[in-house]
Amino acid sequence: MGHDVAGLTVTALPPRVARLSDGRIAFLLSPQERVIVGGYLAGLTDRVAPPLDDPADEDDDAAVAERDPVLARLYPDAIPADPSASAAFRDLVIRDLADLRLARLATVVETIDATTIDDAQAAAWLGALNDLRLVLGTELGVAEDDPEVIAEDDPDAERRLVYAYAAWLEDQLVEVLAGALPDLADDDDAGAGGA
Amino acid sequence: MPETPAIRNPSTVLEEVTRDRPLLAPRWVVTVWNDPVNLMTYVTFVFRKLFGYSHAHARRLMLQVHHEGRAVVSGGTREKCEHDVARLHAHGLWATMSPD
Repeated sequence: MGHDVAGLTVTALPPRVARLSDGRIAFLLSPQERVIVGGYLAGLTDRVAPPLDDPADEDDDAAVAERDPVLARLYPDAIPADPSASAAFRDLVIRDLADLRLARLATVVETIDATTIDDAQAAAWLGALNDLRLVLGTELGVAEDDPEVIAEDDPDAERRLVYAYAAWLEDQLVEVLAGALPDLADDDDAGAGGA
Repeated sequence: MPETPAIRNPSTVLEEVTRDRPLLAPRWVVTVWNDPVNLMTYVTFVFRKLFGYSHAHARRLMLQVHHEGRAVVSGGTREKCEHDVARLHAHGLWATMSPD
């Protein structure tokens, strides 16, 4: 699991996301951020959905997903102990999941210039940014103990910076959206003192 | 004095007992696995959002995934677990299901 993004240069930026008193969410990306992250997210549309079935192609969706590491990460094996059940599950859900991912990206495109968004739009941005990080993380071979500083001569420097930026923005969206969830008492922890 | 009850064929008894109620379906569990991409705050949020867990419970499960490599996050019928796995996949978490 990725840690928080403390230590990265992007954390020096002021926050971009905040709950407003009228219930909407302020979304204050700079014009440059909108161009860069919007471009990366728009580029995901070709990446997050498996190719449509070609009747001449004997491969089904499940086989396509297994061959492509990015698709394998976005549509994991659900039942690893039973490959045929896993393939059936993937065939059953992959189109709906792909449509959901594309709908989130469409919301991102619609709100790319917005300075306020609602909770559903924020959730779409969060899902799209997380997909972007799954795609970049898989392509870049990100590991849990990767150094947090990006070397200047790294040929993947821009993608690594976008990856870190997306994490920073995601964290802010999570905080705002989590604040709207019901605040349940924790029954198993009461008085336990915690660590 | 009451008569000693006749010993009946157990399969007949079982059939009578279960005739009007479905047999308990086998239980499945959903496991979420650690990965280097998903943020700790995001994983905690997804557990709260999808399963209605308290923040503290969701955070404990997230930490179990982080430190132990995996955690069982839900369970139930096969159909329920398929639903949960699909929703976790929609949120980018690496989830699998298996018979309990």
